[in-house]
Amino acid sequence: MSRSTDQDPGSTLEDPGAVAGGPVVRLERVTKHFGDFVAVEEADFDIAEGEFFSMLGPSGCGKTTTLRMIAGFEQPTAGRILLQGRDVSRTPPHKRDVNTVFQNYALFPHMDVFDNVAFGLRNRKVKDAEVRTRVHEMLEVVRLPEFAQRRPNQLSGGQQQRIALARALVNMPKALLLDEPLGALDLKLRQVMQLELKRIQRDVGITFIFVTHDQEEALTMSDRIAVMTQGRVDQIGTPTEIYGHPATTFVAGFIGTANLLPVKVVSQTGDQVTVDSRLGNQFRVPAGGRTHAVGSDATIMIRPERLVPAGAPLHGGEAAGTIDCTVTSLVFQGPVVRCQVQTSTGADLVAHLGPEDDPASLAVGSPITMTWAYDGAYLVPEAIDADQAGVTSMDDDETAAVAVG
Amino acid sequence: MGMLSPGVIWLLLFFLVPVLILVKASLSSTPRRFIPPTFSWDWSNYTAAFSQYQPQFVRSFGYAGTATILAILIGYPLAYWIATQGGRFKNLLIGLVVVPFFISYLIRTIAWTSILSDNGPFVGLYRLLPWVGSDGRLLATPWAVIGGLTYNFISFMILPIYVSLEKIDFRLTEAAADLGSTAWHAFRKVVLPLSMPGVFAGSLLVFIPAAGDYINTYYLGSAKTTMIGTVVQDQFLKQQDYPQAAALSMVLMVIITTMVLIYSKFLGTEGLAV
Repeated sequence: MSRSTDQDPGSTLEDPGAVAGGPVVRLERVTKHFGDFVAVEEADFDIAEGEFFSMLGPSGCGKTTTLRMIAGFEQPTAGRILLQGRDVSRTPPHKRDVNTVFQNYALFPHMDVFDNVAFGLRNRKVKDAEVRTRVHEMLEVVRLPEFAQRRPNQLSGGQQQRIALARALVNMPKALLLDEPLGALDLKLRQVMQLELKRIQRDVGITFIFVTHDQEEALTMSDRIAVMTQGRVDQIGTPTEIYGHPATTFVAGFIGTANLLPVKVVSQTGDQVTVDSRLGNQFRVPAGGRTHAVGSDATIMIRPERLVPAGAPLHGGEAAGTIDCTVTSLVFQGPVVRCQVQTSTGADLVAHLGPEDDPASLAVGSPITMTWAYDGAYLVPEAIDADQAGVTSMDDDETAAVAVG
Repeated sequence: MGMLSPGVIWLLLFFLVPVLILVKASLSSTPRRFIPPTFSWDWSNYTAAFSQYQPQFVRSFGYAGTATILAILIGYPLAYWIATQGGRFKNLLIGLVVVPFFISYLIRTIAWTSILSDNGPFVGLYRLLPWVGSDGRLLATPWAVIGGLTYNFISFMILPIYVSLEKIDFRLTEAAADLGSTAWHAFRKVVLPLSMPGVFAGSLLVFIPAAGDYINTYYLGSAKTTMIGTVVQDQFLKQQDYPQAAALSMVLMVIITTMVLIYSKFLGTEGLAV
């Protein structure tokens, strides 16, 4: 059943264009204008067969418009959309072999669950007997086999969600498009459905294209993520790449929490860059495979779990730099202590301290020297203003994503 | 129970009592000169209703039914167009549908007599049609009556259909298109069924008053187009045969109620609650 396991996901991630048989969906410089407003600007990427691909970004970033263009509800102003190599840019939605799970589910209220799920098959004139078996099979896949005779208004939000999924998947589309399908569910149910979606995707082996503003959701489920902002795709990569090696400061701040500090590139030898911290000292940072122009402005990013007090055990090599700070707050959060410190220039940094970092020895108001392992910092080739220095979001949970959106 | 009583009193006073008075009158003897009708379990009024006035009953339901169908055929596309394409002019357009009500029903109907009259603007064009002779008329024909009924009651069709269309989430048609439906198929399978409560309500609101109407046939029809309303009005106000008029009214009421029940079985009134 599972086609996704036939291929090595690693190879598709490095170079999606090299996948045998070509990508399922290809966007070629796709641009969409609504009047003067540029909703999507030159989106250009491939989505491989069997991939769980997410488009992530704050609301208004163009992710839903991109999805609607793939579905056929909107036509690109410029560029082409290819579905298995065929240009579908001007093909109406009912002639495209993709199906959508809508944000509000859009189940037909006057039909029972069976008729809802059978709708697409009947449109394609599938024989009644086959419709029955396939609908029941799909209701098994979404684990609601006994609900065939119910009306949508007799189902809970999570059940409606599963039926919407079954209604789309039963047609075995080339790609399944999901438009923030978990947005209306409460946190607990959302986490259950995240794992369920992942399981179903593995079972049916269909390409999922998932739109969300919730970075945690995207990290949990995706093989690859496209991070979008203001109509542009900032970065496409695996969750690990995007979290560890953000291409822009926006990506760094939108995915998880990031401490950002403006720096100037002093020199580069091989994959090691020396930067001036503007705090009176210099750091050594991995170049991340790039060549950084000497004298250019850049930003270093350190995740809160990589920032530790000097003297605490370091993971991943020797200390690569130090910052003198003052402790401004200590909050016990269970697994970690959230320690907020302030640099001499007034930037707030956040460190998540585990028990091995001995947070009990710290006191608010006392001076502290923070440090990190060499590969705990990442050099983002983008300048930030001094007033943007410091931690990007004050909280880790979804309230941060909502605030950005 | 206490909360129910105002409603119960209202029903007793304005529904049950008048119906009982009507039943009593319908079972009274036919009045003669100087002899008022008296209650006597006299069923002759009912037998007369069926034997003497059958053509009028048939015509009433035929005209009202045709007018209802015409009102659906004209009103549904109009309501659909306003609901889907009206944009910010929706309320204005719906207002325009209601505007004719500011003029008396009688005046509007009389206005049609001059529009359809033999020297009016349309008869000339109508007579050019190949199957119409030079003596073709519009006024005083069944179609003039049906046209008048349709015109006078069509707002009652447009408004409920508009309300039910307005409630439909048109993302459902996107979902249908996504699942392979053409625009027409999506309309037939999704929009039309979901707007049936409006069609049902509109049909009742047009059919019931149209079946009992006598104004349209009086002004736009002829002696050959009399409807049951004409007879009831004549019996009540001219012949002053209250028992006969009451019996005719009762028969009309029972037939309409039966038809509505059958109709609701087919379309389902439960849908009205959606």
